[in-house]
Amino acid sequence: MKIGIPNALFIREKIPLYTSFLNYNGIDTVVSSNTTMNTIEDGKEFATSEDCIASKIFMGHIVELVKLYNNGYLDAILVPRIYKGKKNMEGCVKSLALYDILSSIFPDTRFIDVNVDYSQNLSYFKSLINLGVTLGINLKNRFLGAFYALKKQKEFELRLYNEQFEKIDFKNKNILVIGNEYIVRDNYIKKLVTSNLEDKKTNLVYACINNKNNRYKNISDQLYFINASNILNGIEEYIDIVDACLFITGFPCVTDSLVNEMVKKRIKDKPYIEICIDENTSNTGIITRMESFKDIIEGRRYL
Amino acid sequence: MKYYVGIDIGSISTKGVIIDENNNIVSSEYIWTNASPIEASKELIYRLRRNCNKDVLDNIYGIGTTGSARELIGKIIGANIIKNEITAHAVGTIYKYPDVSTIIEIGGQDSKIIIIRNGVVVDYAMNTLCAAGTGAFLSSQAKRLGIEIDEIEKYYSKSKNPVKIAARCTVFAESDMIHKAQIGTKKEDLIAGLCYAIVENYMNNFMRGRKIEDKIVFQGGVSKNNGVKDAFEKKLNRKVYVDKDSHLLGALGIAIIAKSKKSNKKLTLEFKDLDYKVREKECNGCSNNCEVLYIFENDMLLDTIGNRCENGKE
Repeated sequence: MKIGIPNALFIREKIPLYTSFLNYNGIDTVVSSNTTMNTIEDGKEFATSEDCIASKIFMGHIVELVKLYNNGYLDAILVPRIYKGKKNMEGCVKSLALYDILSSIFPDTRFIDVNVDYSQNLSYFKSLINLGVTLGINLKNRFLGAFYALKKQKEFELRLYNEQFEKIDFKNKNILVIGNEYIVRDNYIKKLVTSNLEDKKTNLVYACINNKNNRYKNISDQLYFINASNILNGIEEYIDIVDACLFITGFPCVTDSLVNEMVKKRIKDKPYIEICIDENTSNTGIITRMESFKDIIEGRRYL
Repeated sequence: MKYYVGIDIGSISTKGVIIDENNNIVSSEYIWTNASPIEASKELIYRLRRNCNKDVLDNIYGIGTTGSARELIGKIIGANIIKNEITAHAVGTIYKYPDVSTIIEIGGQDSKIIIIRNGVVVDYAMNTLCAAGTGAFLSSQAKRLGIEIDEIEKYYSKSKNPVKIAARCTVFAESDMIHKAQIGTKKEDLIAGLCYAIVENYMNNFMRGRKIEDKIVFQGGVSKNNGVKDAFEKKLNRKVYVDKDSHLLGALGIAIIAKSKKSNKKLTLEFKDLDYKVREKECNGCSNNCEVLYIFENDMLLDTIGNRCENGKE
């Protein structure tokens, strides 16, 4: 059996979890390739026009997998959804609806849904067990696979975190990139925005990669969206050691619209710029903004 | 004496200055871009040269370009510095007003705020997805009311009761204006309302959460419109300065930046009388699919803009 996994939206950061669970149980996985301009073009065709850019990118990844499915390379496509949030906290509504939207757009494709229920403990563990039931994996392998997958996911997150931490060098300028993981770490958006900042003297620190210790409560203990808490965790962790902050938000993003004011207040005096992108954003405007942002960080006098 | 050239190729107008070592302007020009930056720069350079004597033209040690067509023109004329307009404007303004803290800039299709502390840019913001509240908005509404853009000031000064117009979006502003006109509002009140709408839009977008300190300098094409300047002063309750050369400050800034390079190489300011063509193509060399701009000089490839790797340089 072969299952496709879209490399987009909130599924992105949990790819090792799902692939290792499935691979452990002898199921092959195909992860969709990195986002390119073509991915967005494909996604635009099927997404509604009001969708955010992240959803359009997601749809592009699904289109790629559906093509593989139609050619007989895949047996199903996995679409996890955040079913319930934590207490007083919700996931983005898009994530709840994904499976149903896809089932109605591509009725001939087999999608497998997994509910992630944050309101219970061990949310991801339970979701893997349920996935195992759907796929007909026996009880023992379900549990062993889930333990293995959680371990792999933890290792992956720790590796990313350590790599990022090792790269921080106080001789260089460190820029904190704030935003949802699926936006700021997406291949296409990286090329569009942050690649203009990269050189030997600047180092990018991603707020979404942090040690997840609920520091967001220093900023606000009442957040509506789960993904906002992760962004704020990262800001609390890195804000004192970075030289400047860049907030990348996808248009239109409901979770970002609630946190960007909080972020602005927390950052206070450091150079800060907000970039809002949609699927039509050309890179010329962004290059100008990034160039001048760099000039500000350098703080050079010409007179 | 050494001389330096600064050229600012904007979306609406193209500006150029030649300065000496002491930053004095020896020659300056201002012409319309008319959507063809190559032709405009050619004309601009011709005029700049015409204004100067041989001594100036033989001693040029730096050429800088800025503005939205900076890369293209910079490559064609062989500029030794190409820099974004935000930095260029800030440098030009700091030179003229060393104690400036806030620069308000509203141009043809963009608006921005630049915050300066102690002569260094510390923060800026620029409109991203929408061009509401820029010069384009003002000129399209003026056209709608059947008046010339430079008449706005005249009408503004006559108004006693400016109407409230939503400036969040040009389309909504238009429907607002039609409604107000249909219920019999005077033209001058509509126009004053427009000026206030631009200011309010700007303040909502850029001044929220920022500390606005004196001195405030207002530039860009819209700054030439006294109505908007006056509206800013009333809303901010502070004096807003508009330089008589405010349109040249970007070009002056880039000339000063070119000077700061301290290059010893002599450059010639000329726009070769050759045929320049530009072709835009989506490069399929890799998965990036960059939009690459190929510049041809007499059908020979001169340079490329926009490619992120070597694949685009075919």
